[in-house]
Amino acid sequence: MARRLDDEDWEQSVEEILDESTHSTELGKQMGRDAVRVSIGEMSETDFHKKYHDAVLDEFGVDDRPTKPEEYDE
Amino acid sequence: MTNYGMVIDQERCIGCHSCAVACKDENNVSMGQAWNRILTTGGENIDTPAGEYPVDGGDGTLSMQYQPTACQHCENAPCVKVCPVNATYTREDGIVEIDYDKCMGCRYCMAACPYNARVFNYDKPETTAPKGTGNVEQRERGVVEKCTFCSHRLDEGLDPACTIACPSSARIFGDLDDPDSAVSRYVKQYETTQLLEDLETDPNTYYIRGEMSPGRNHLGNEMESELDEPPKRRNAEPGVPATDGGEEQ
Repeated sequence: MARRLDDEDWEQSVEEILDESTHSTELGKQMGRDAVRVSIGEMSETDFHKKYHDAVLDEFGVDDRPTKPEEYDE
Repeated sequence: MTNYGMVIDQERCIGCHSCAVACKDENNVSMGQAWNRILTTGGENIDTPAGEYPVDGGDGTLSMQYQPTACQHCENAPCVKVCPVNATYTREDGIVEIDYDKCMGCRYCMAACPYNARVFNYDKPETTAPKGTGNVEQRERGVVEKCTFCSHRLDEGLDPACTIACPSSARIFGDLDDPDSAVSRYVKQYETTQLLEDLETDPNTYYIRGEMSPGRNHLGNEMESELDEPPKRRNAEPGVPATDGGEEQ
């Protein structure tokens, strides 16, 4: 795993950014990290999409992320 | 197919912030925000050197290097993957852009960007350059913004504002898919790095360290692809072949 993902300064910076938003800080933080894991190849786009699909729908009422797999059944 | 990218020669960069100022002016960036920042490596703060002056017992190790940073336009961009409304997306020409009409300001893309390249628009931009192409539309307050490689200028065949503003020709912009473009030749010829390579985001922005390149190979606003071949460097005299960056290694 890239050390960057465990960087406390990055985590604190992200929390400060998201705390000012009206949306879930924890969800944004987790999705941000896992998006990097997808870039690294530690997680597939399909797994990433499925992992957060329900939470994204609950939070935003829509999930139009480009990671949606073709075979993914809404 | 076109795949736009930039090479920044850190051996040429003098840390003057001209690119940052030109970016703000060109793109109508609101007060207190910057899409393009010139960070300092070595010292504790921006524009602060590391080491000591060779006086009063100092060891003469003084050094300061600059790290120009903006959106890296990653081919494997984490920011694109998290956007719930697909407002941030990668264009066919490689530019990562934001649809401000779609963006709802959740800032999840800011959390996903490893380069801290995105800013949140707390204030509606209000300044517009009186002349030229500085006519980027106002964004509504409450959206995330970032560098677009000046896509509005590219549409007119012009290099990004930061590129032409650089007095040391440290920024070279062009098509990475064109093997004859300066960006492609420099990436191949010089020792280049991408920021945070271990994250495998594959940025379209490359940095030259070590050997200094000839820099941007022409004067003027035009993109290299808009010029007659070969592009002429500023020191080329009539009848003298243009500098093309030297022999390939």
